[in-house]
Amino acid sequence: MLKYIVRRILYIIPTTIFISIVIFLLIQLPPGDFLSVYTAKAVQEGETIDKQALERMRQDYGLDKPWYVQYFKWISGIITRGDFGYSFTYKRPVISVIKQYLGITIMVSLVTMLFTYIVAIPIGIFSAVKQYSIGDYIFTIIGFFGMGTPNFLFAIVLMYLSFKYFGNPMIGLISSEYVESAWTWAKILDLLKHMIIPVIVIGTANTCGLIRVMRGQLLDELNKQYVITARAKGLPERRILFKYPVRAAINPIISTIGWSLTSIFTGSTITAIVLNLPTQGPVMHKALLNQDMYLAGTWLLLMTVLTLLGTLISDLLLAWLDPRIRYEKKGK
Amino acid sequence: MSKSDIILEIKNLTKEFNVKTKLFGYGKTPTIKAVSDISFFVKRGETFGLVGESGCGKTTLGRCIVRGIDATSGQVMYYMEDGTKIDFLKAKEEEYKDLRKRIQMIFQDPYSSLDPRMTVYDIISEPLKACYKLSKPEIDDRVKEIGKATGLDISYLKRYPHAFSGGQRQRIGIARALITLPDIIVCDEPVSALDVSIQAQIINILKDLQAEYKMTYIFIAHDLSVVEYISDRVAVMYLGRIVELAPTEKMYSYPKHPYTEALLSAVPNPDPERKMRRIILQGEVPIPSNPPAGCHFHPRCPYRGKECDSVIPELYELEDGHYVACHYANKLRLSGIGQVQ
Amino acid sequence: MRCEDRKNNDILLEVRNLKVHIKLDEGILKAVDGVSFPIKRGKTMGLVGESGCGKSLTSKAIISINPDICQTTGEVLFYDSEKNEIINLLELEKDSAEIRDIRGKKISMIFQEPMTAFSPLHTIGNQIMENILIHKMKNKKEAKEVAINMLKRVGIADAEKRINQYPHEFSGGMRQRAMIAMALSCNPDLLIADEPTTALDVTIQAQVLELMNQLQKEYEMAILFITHNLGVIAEICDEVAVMYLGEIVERASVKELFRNPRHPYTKGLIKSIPKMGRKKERLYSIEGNVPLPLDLPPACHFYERCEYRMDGICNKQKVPEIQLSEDHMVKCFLYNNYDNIKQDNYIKQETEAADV
Ligand SMILES: Nc1ncnc2c1ncn2[C@@H]1O[C@H](COP(=O)(O)OP(=O)(O)OP(=O)(O)O)[C@@H](O)[C@H]1O
Ligand SMILES: Nc1ncnc2c1ncn2[C@@H]1O[C@H](COP(=O)(O)OP(=O)(O)OP(=O)(O)O)[C@@H](O)[C@H]1O
Ligand SMILES: [Mg+2]
Ligand SMILES: [Mg+2]
Repeated sequence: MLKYIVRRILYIIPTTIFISIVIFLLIQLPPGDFLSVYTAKAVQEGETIDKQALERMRQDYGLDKPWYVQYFKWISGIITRGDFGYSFTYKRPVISVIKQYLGITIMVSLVTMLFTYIVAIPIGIFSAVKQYSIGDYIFTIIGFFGMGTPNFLFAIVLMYLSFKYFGNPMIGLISSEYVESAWTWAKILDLLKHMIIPVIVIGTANTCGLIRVMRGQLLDELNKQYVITARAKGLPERRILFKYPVRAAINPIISTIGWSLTSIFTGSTITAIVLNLPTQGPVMHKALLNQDMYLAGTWLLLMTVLTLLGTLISDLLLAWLDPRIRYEKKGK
Repeated sequence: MSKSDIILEIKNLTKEFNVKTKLFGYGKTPTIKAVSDISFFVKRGETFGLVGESGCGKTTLGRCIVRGIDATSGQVMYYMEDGTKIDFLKAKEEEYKDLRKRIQMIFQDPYSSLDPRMTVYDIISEPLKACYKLSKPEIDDRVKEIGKATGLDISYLKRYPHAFSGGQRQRIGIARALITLPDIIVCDEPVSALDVSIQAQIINILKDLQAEYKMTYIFIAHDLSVVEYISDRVAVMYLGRIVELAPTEKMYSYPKHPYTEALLSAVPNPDPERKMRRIILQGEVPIPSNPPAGCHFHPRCPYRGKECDSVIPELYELEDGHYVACHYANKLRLSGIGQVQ
Repeated sequence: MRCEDRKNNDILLEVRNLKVHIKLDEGILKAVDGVSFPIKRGKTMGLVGESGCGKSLTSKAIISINPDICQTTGEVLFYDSEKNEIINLLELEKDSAEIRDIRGKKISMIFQEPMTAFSPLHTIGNQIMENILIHKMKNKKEAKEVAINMLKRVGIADAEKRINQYPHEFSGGMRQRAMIAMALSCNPDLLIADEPTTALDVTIQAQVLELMNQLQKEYEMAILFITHNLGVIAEICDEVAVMYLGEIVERASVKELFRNPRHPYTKGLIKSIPKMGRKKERLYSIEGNVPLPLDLPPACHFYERCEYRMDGICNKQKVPEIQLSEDHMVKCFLYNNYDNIKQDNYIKQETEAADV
């Protein structure tokens, strides 16, 4: 097993290198570079720019050299100095931009995921056990409604409701009066309050899907022979349910945690823009628009590593949960 | 026996499966020798039975013979009426097309072997369309004739297979195999999935058809009583090899291989007053990817001797037409059926 | 219910007029329709019949583990030796403590499909011990010991190691033996075996049957053995009930049933198996197919396929159950009066003469 994990981690390295090259190429693809975009914008807005500083930067990053030289410079910077480059939009090193947004993004994602699983799994179980009951129908209808409504629309509706009833649309994650202050209980409470809408909005779409998956999986399992075997042993229904079919039905869902982490990361950009969330979605969006190549490249690279790790985590979870797979992986 | 009696001769047929593991899988891929160096011949017009436990390679052998899958090595010689012979496995386009008509197969599972999207008529007429150029009325006539012979109602022909019971499906499978009027049909457990009462119907149909169209059957089954009933000669397979081959009555009354004896004694006898001595084999059927050395049967054999775990016994002719692969075949006195103990 | 006269009686369980009806869109499926039979203490009762005739539903109805769409009526009288009283199992709530105390402890069951009857996610040991832990003892260590001993009893070598393995590491025959070990771990009074050997090879089937025979003697339990293989029935049963489309059409001791089958269906079944070591004449075969038991009229369901059918009687009236002798019941109009039995003997001799 250990050998398997080490091997899988080793596979991540070449994959990451390969993907980083592709990412770099793609970002390079549009004509011009961030400096030209930057200059054009500045000229448009009537700002003066330090031509000398610009020229220095162009040389530092080798922007006049072919792409592979630039790539090599970037990568060696990352590896030797932990320097991910400079963000022009934010006018500071990429690493500091990322530091600012990453924590909050991960937090929103994790809370959202927790919300999704905590809500979806019990409802899924209920719907399967009480198949065709009124409750099942109600959840089904709500579920389809939730899946059908676009997230941003849902966000706007909730914002409106919040504004109407609480006098605050809850835009952003932290109220303006706390932005500069240190972390106090009041600030945390404020943050939690602000997280309600994003978590519900981003979470529901996944929740509804997950309820259907859980329900379907469990219905399958409930008809399996081993459930009847357990019943014939004289186990109480509730214990049978949780020990056997639920466990079996949850496996494929738990094992996708790794993948869903990254999808929640990247899938909620529009919602985040609408809600003005200081998460990575809007930042990425801006970086791409401005050809802020090092910022965009670093984000994408981070996503790649996260996806690969997520996949690994999923596979490991699956192997841990399902002895049949565990056995195969051990290679006998 | 003269050569002209023979219709099919299988020579050193071997089929290996390489079980593919995943792209990043470990270690060597195990090779499964499903059929291992098998040779025998089939006489014109006889029913050749093939028995053995699940996984011993019966289906694989059958499918190699009809070229449903490609054998790893070996020959399947087909003897034409004029005495010329062709290796079916190496036959080129024209010859292959001709032989294809002559060798057909009935499949094990009547539930999955019929395409659910085709009508029964299309299923039955398909091999005919593939092998001959016939006009529509000619095809119609043929399908109807065969349908009648196999006991299918003509009015059923436009329906889809799901509307039929297991027994009826098996008849459709038989009709499909018969439509080209082949010389040889490989019947892979045609009655195993069927109920007793339907099983008897199908066996009778097969016998009647054989009498009418003078066909040769290779009849695969794991039910020894069915094989005894229908076959003229029987071969017993164990882990990819033939361990005994003999005329049916000889084999069932005077088995020469310990495995055959155990198989015979294990068959539940539907007569509560005639109980036989029961030989209970110890241990499990081994996995073909890792067979025991020497005689594959030796770990379960009650009569094993010292060379059994190292020397592979060859199949040889012990008595006239009675072949056996056992080091002790001429020393052992084994009991067959009918010997009440 | 309490019956003093039952105590010295040797009947362990009696099924009376059991009906399992399933409401489908197409109509009511009378999958089991008025089945009655007794099971004697320490004896083996066989239930034979073709696929779909209702054998599994009957057996599962005994301990109320059929799915909810099955409407079950009738009586299943079980003599509880511990409490010395007779309980109607069908009257108990489906998930009540009383019936759960009987399932797995006094009546246990093994199933047709050894491949799917164990949960793939739990070890064999876990699943066997579970049975012991609910019914017998609370101590996990002792339960493990019992489980290991049981596995050894059913001939699984290396039981200490095997107990921690998962079902997919067992072969079909081994799983079936593990299943038997699980079912017998609480010394049940009755073992219901639903086609325990159908999925197995002959040599493995022989192993399992031999094992069941041995264990039955040792534990003195009764067995309800379900199969469609008459050979297996002849090997291990004391009494047999033949089922056709949800009804028992004939019931007798094994010897009697094989020597003097009365119902045309039973006769057909026995004649249609190829017998080894006999002269090969044409196999007898029952015409037609088993119909689906949807909306059947209350007449003989075998009518269409029967050689001896009497138009106007068999397809019009409800068939009576006729007790030919103390241990021989048949459900057929042919035996409505005694003369027909003689006639039947005549038919039998005649056909035998023709066979020779
Ligand atoms: N396509 C395949 N790939 C890998 N292994 C195979 C394949 N087909 C068959 N085998 C293996 O070859 C062996 C022989 O299989 P085969 O189906 O011929 O057995 P059989 O005697 O017909 O058994 P049964 O009575 O169950 O039908 C088995 O161990 C099987 O697992
Ligand atoms: N859950 C169900 N829903 C609908 N019909 C069912 C259900 N369970 C069983 N049946 C039907 O009830 C009839 C009897 O089924 P049962 O499983 O008792 O047959 P069986 O005699 O055990 O057959 P086999 O030998 O194939 O196991 C069949 O026609 C079957 O299709
Ligand atoms: Mg096969
Ligand atoms: Mg059944």
